[in-house]
Amino acid sequence: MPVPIVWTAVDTLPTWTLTDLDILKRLQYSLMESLFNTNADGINFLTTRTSPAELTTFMNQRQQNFLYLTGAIVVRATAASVGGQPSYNYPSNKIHARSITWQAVDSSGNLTGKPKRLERTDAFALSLTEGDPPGRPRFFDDGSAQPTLEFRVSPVTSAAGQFRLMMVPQPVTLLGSGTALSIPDEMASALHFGVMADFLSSDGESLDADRAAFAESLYDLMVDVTCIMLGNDPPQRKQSDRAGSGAGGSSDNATAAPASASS
Amino acid sequence: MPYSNINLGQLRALLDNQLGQSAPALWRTDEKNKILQDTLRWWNILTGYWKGPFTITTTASAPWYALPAPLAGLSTIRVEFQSRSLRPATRYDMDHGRDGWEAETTASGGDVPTKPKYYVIGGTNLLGIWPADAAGNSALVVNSILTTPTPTLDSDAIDLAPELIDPLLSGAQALAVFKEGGVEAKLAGPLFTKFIEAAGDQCAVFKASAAYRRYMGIDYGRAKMPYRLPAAQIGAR
Repeated sequence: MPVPIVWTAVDTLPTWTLTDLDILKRLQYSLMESLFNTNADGINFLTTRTSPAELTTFMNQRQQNFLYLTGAIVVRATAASVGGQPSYNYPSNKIHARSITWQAVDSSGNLTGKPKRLERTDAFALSLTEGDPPGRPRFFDDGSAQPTLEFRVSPVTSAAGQFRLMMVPQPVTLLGSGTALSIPDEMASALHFGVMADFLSSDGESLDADRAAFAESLYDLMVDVTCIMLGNDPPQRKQSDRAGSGAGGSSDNATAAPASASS
Repeated sequence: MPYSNINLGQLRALLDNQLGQSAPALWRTDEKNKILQDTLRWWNILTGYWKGPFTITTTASAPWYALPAPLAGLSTIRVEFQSRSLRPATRYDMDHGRDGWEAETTASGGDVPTKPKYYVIGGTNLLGIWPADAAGNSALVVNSILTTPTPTLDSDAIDLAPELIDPLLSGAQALAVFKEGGVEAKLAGPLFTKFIEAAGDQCAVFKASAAYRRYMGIDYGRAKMPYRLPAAQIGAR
């Protein structure tokens, strides 16, 4: 267990206009759960087939998944490195590290030299440089052999320095009570249709494979478009999901399997 | 200058025609308004239809700037520094092509330019420039996709070209009939396809993207690799 380092946030998580209650209202209409002759309020559902709490749970999962797949929101954080220490903890709200840089600190505590990016690698490659003398770290591994929320650098730092992390953060937890979403309004439909896909593909009386597939294809489309807007490659999916998985690929959505958004 | 030929009430009346209802039945007015708002948001993110500039004042030697939400920042299209446009780059490009770029400023000297040359997309909420402006206090004009106009009152005009009303109604109808299930819900697929096709016609970048091909079921890779052998048949060959 490494000596914990304290991360200082540089950016705050932005919030937008739409709230979880807005999405719940849309879901209520889409599921025909609004009370007779009444506008949807996102709270009082017609039946007990589902509940705001269940849909909000789906919404939280989809919001996290959307940010993980797209990296639409990034924030920066800094922390002091410890001389001779190879492993460090991440901030607890990290979903994915986009980049880590390290910059030396002189004896007066001032940053000196250029911040250098650490190359992401795996445990095997990292072990090849771990015998190098301490100095400026050049590589890091946070996947193959590391506990969750930890990363390991190599070579170890010789003296004090500063890590700068750019990461995809955990979104604000939605409670179904009017919490602002952590994704832009234009992408909020991803939550609406992602939740619809989850709900309509769950076993039970709500099961509707056709509509679940259509909803999933819209979620995937929003993920892909967001990735392209940001200059990132869209996530890979199964071959069977590629051609004809969207509504345009076939006039009969019954042939389209729900896409695996988490792949 | 925005269009003002149609307002929310008129657009909803057209959607009523598409849905075959003159009085509220399966869809309440509130729901149809939300559907139309959602459709406008889809249109904006697919095509970048509503765009505009906003200005950030640079801070001395700062490479990154938080974009103001919800005003802007969906997708940066063009950035100008002192009336000169910067070239686009991704964070990955800069990290791998110019190690230590975040520390370089217009005063660094050597091979570092004396004016910002690239803008870097960090995320929808973060924009970088290279090299950083050493002096600061200069205008960085960001042309970006703006937040979608959200009409709420029937009298709210929608900044929308007349020729786009038809495909938008297809999109809105798809989102509306989706809730019905059964045969009606199957209509949602072709209707939304029409909407996506129109978005592709509106925005060449979207039409050329993998997202468009994937949704439309256009698999160019398969066409490039035809089967070498004919299908097996019974009998002498």
